[in-house]
Amino acid sequence: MSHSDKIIIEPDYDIVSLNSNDLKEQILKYLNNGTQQIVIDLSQVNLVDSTGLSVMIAVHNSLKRMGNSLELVNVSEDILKLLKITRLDKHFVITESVH
Amino acid sequence: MQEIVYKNIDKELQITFNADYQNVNKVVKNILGYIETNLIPVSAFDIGVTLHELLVNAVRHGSASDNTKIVHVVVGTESGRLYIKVQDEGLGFDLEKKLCNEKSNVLEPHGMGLNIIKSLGFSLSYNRINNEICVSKELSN
Repeated sequence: MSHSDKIIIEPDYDIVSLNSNDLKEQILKYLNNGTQQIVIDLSQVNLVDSTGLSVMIAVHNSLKRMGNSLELVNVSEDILKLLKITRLDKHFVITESVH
Repeated sequence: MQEIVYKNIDKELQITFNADYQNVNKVVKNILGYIETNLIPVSAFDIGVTLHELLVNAVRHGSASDNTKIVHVVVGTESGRLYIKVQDEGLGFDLEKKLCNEKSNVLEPHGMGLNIIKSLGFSLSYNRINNEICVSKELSN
């Protein structure tokens, strides 16, 4: 795996307290292997709670130290509303589909 | 220890469960089913997020993740509003202080749950010792 790799992660579960740690562990493995770009595809995610957002913030903060941002794709209107409420839409890169 | 007890009494859904994260997921799913079955006009997303915030808070902080502790939840409607009451066995917390602290830094991932609930349009109140929180929201037409 080269350092320029962009990893796309597509959770097929809601990112809430019970599952957030699984996502965190999965992403940490990629970060520890030198991955510098992380994309989370939310097309199969219906719900995100503050614990899930905390995982995204932690990932974003790690990527930020490498000059990058967390990218989210296929974000539903409801989840986008949540990102706007928490002002995280100003920090994460939100795109319609993977480039 | 993963017992969940549901009672449907006087247009209220009353739930008691052991403080466990798996139970939280099951209880949220069942409350969303109750809301759908009873055609209660509220956003499933808003209720789902709010329930997760309240119940996880009751498990993590109110019960210190001790699954022998019990969490009580009541969901119902009255005077055109949906209400959700959550009570745990904890000692409570200073809600206003917590809300104030949560506004400090967007990228500081501590808390933020109660601010999300308020931003979704719910009113919050809590009992004297702060181990019971009640949120309510006007029903959509």
